[in-house]
Amino acid sequence: MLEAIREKAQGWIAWTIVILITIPFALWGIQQYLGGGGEPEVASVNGQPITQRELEVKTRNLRMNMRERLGDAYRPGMFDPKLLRDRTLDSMIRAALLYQHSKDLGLGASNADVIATIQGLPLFQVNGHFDRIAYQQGLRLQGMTSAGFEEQVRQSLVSTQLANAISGSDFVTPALLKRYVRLAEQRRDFGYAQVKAANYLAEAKVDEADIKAWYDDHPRDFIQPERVKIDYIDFDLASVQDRVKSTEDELKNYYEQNIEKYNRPEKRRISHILISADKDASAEDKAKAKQQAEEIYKQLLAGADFAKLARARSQDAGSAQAGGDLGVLEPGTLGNAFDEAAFKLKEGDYSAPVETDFGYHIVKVDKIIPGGSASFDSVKSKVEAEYRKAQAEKQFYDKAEKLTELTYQNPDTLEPAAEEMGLEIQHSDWLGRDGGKGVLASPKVSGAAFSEDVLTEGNNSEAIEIGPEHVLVLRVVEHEEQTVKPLGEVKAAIRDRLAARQAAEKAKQAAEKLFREFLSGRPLSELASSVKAEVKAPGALKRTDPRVPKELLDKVFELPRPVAGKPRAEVVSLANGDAVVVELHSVSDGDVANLSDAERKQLIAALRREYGEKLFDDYVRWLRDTAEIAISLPDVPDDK
Amino acid sequence: MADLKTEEEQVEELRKWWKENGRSVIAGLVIGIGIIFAWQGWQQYRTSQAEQASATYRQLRQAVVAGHAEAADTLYQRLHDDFGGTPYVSFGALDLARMKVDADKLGEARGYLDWAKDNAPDEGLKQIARLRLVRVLLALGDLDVATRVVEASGAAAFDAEMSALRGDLALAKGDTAAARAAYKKALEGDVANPAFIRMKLNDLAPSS
Repeated sequence: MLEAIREKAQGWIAWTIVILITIPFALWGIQQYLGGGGEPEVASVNGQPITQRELEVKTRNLRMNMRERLGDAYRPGMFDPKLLRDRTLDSMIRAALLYQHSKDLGLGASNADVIATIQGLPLFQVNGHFDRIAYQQGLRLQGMTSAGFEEQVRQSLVSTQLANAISGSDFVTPALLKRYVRLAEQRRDFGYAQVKAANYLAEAKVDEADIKAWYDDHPRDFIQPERVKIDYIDFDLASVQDRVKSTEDELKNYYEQNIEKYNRPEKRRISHILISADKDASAEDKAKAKQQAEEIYKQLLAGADFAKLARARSQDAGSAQAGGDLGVLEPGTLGNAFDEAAFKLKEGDYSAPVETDFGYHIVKVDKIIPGGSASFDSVKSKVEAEYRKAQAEKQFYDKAEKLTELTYQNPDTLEPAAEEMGLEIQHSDWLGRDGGKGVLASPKVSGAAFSEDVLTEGNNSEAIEIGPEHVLVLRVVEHEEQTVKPLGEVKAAIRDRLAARQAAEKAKQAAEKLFREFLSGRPLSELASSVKAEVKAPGALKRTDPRVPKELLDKVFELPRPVAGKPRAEVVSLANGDAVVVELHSVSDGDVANLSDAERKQLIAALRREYGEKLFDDYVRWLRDTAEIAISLPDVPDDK
Repeated sequence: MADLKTEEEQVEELRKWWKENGRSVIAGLVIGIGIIFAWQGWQQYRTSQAEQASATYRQLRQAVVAGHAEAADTLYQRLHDDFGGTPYVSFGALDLARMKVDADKLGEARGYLDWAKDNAPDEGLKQIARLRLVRVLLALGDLDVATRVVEASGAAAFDAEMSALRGDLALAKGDTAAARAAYKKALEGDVANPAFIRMKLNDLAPSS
């Protein structure tokens, strides 16, 4: 048998077997190259997959980024997770398209560019210079190799090239600028008569049935969002401080330990004569100043009067007139060199010239006011306040810890904690997801109150850190789902609203009547008084003038240009209910020549950017149109 | 088994086979390896061309932004002569067109855009060159050529922008009805500076 196999092993059967065995080995693992490793995909862009994991990581980064940027204004649940995810996927598809296309076009980035970019990243800089160690550490933190990171930088450089090439090369032709300015800077001169809705409010009749009908038709307008009432313990430094007890001995002890705080330092009344020489002045100027100072010093030695010399020669304008007097100073006010001279001298003595950043001073001590320790009794109240504060700071974290423990051990009540720690339980008014007032305004409070653990499970919240040395524990005592407010509660508001609508309608009718009479040839100013309308002539205004209601101005700029013998007028309803008859008198176009050079440049830059960015958007859209993109997102977003 | 042969017979057979086919096998190997090396070489050449061209283009951009016209002209010439096969030449042409418009040399800008609209490496860039060319032609008043360029344009992604230009073109020819229709069509799409288009449209309000 074996013999037979050995003989045959040299023949065709053996070869067949060998080949059959080789095939699985050759193909082993090929699916890893073909398939992206079997990870679930959410999209494919021209065959290049975007995996669910990549999308989740990017979405999480985006959310963290927003949270950082918004700071305290961030609230959990602020962004619809589905929307966030879709946006992220969209930008990833865009990036993939751009990168693929850049490759197809054969764009590249030189090593020098890649290196320069990396070295310019602030993340890898120490004291403004690229630091190799910081670079390697940064990469390790991100779990990246330097080759991988460099490739990423290269990719981003290549992808932005296309964007810059398109949006950066746009321009504004002189003809376009001229036309833009002609229209955007156009002024229109008009007058109008404003019929006040308020004048018709008294005539309005609203009956119960109308109110009921409105209420039934507009349930969305009367929604009372979900809200809670909470009990809470507010715990901060002050609540500890109030409870700190102090004996006379403790205070004395504290006083002695901190005696330096209560010592009064020695003070001196100082005069000086300054010959100024800025610290950046040339050596020559400094030498000159020094020489002058020396000369004054010699005069003093010869018996000249300090105050007189100060008035005559000192270059310190502030003190010269007062004979050089700087007032009473404590050590450390005027810098080292000056201090050293001033506090070494005896009363009545003056120094040789001393150099500081300001120049050369001759310093004189007019009077020494001795310092010394303040007696305990004289500073007792100060000592007590400071002692309490120091003790409170020491105790705060222990007590906050205790509060956390007690509220955690008794998850369904705050009372044991309040009782044991001598704190007060406070009761809130209704509180929505958008927060309350005072300490309850913090987004962390509403976040905790509406969290599953607190709202659904009925537990105490954790100790919420409202600020430094300030925590709060809360529990929900009453919860109300979103409801529609009852009719009785909103009746008055609906009545007012309906009355206002009626008044606005009447004002509009009055304005329309005015308009017809105006068209028959009578001037507005004459007609207006009949309906107690105000006549206004704001003058020639641009499109965006804030002094006139926007809806009126928009209408004025939609009217055709006036032609001789043809009045241009229109009725406009304003947002506040008033109705207006407006008459356009004349149009004056904007002129490029009236722009300053800076304004012109600014305008060109803004238009250039707008057109350039738009064309790049169109270009990406074109890429999308020509690409094969398949999206298969799971229905339920699994991120929280 | 009848096909069993002795070792000598097998060696003899192999020799014979090699004699007959040896040359083609070696030739095949040489060609195969040659192709691999040539492909790699071509890739390397392409990458290095792209990197050098990209560096030159970056300098060109800096020159354009800084307003150094002469340097920009020289750098563009270098792109054109040494890196003609790369897309950077088209990027450079777009940039020089911008520079020429800024310097109020519309005729020269027209030349660069005209070149780019025919030679840019993809249809999207060609369409961008066309749109900008039409803007320059409008400023130059060459309405006939502008009409021809507008009519030759494709790529639906740029339709809104093209509609806005059709409006400008119709207005320049005095056809306010066509201009109004084109502006309205532009506003239906995602157009740059819609406020400006609305201003133009209001300015064409029929004077009944």
